[in-house]
Amino acid sequence: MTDTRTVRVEILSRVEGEGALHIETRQGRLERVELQIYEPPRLFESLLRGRPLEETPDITARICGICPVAYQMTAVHALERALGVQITPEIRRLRRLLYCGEWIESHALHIHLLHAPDFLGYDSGLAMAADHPQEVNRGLRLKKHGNQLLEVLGGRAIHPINVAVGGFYRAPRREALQRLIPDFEWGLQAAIEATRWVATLRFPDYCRDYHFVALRHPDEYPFNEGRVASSRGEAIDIDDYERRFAEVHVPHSTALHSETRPDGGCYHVGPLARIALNRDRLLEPARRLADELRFETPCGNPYRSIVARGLELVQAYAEALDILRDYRDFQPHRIPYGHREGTGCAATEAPRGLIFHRYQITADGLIEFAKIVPPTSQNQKQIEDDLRDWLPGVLDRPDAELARRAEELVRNYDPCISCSTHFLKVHRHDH
Amino acid sequence: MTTDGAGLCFVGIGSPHGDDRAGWQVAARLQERNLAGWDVHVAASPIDLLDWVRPDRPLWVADACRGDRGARVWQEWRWPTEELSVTWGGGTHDFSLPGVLTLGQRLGRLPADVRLWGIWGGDFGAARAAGDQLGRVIEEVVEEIVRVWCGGDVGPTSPEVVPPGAGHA
Repeated sequence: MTDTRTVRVEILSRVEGEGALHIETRQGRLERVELQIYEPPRLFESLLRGRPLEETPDITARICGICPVAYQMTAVHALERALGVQITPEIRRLRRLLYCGEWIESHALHIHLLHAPDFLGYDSGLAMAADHPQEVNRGLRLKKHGNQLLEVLGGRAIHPINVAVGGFYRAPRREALQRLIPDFEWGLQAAIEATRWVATLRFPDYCRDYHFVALRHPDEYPFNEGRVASSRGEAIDIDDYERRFAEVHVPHSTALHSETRPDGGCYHVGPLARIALNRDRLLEPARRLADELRFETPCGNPYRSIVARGLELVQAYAEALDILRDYRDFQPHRIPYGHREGTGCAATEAPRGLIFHRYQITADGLIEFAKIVPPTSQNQKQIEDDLRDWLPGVLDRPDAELARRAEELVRNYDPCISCSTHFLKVHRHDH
Repeated sequence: MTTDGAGLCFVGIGSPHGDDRAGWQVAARLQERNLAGWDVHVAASPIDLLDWVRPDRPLWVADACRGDRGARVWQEWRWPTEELSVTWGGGTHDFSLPGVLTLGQRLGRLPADVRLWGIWGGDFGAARAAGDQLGRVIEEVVEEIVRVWCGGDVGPTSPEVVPPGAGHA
């Protein structure tokens, strides 16, 4: 036995991807931290090549069962830019409504069943349900609202099939959306209560000076467009994204890491970043709640991302209600276009953060090149940086506690591959 | 994907990847049968079945599974049974099928009659095609489910009764 300690954390989840954590110390000092993630987007990029661009929304939706809307929305926006398609305000609002559904489904689940157990001392949402059935039932009901919206707008809740380049294959009838209003009115109040509840949780006293990156739009909280803004005062066009951010290979992961150019730094995307850069764009119920809870902006405590998610849950309900109440049947629901050679990129805001796509298309409408940068890839380097910063203070703890607390730190980011409460499992080796 | 009525809630769980699509395909075949009183859904994650489950109607589920199957290609279980944790140990967000059913039970949402049809798969790789045999197995499972339904072998059963899973080669 030497003075080297290795904490190996590994589990493979079934569909969304694989995650593992490797922590190594020597002489009581942290030597190596690697978050190892294996995700399928690379495969999907290859799969898209040579296919008609019209298939892209349905194929990219299959990248993720949790946030298909973010993938297909970013795809259609990028392709519309390549084709020069201008959508109508009605289509744009309907797309924002679809995004509301995905945020509600994703945030409600993470807040109530994945993240809250960390602060209440439970191993899982299942364990928490025994003592907090009301909160768990609320989370499940809110999550259901998100799925209902996806079903009405997307044709079905999983991998929606109604999204098309140029708009929607079919626009929902006003009556179908109006029927959702009573549930969403209840949901808005429930989301406010949920956020008040999570704001009372005890959070570790840990704070960082993050480089936050999120979309920022002149008039609205960011879902589907805007400039790429950062907490360092930058605001760049989407077309310049790849000049400022790059994906790099790292030996310990098949997923690419994103970093800033030219300094190779990490950055943080997701709810904390969005609120830090867009608090003034929150709708009134969410902004008022942020004030009531004295939610600091920017907030550098990653554990308080659960409160940020709650505020965004309120935001999504408030915007969804606005759109549902105003909705009128409209035509056209799909803008016609012709094929042409071109390149287009777009960024939108998935529940977990900024997502970027770029496509190159041929004159006959085939995908020649595709690039997809998911939020978890962008946060991966930041997560490792957090762990490197935080672990030295707890290295004296037993392996089980070290692993549990490392898991909690990772879970603040709601990584798409492994939001599970048992994301990490420890295997310790003493050399 | 919903049929009329509320006599039975059927959920096919899966993904578009390899043999993992089995649950969706069973649901699709049952949807085509247009069975009266059936409320048929597909889900990407077991947790979604809590969107539709109600204590007053049976819940039947089909999902691909993996593990030691012997000569079997599909199997039926009645919940609760310990066997499930071996067959469906994982799941998105760590919400495995047994975990979700336990959660549903804990929240008082589960009916007494919960049945599961597991279809063993081999390749669950991203964007892979389903195995050659899957189509035949799906048809077998669908026929069995319809047989059970039409045969009247349904209705509330005591959760304590755990008949051995019937294996099918």
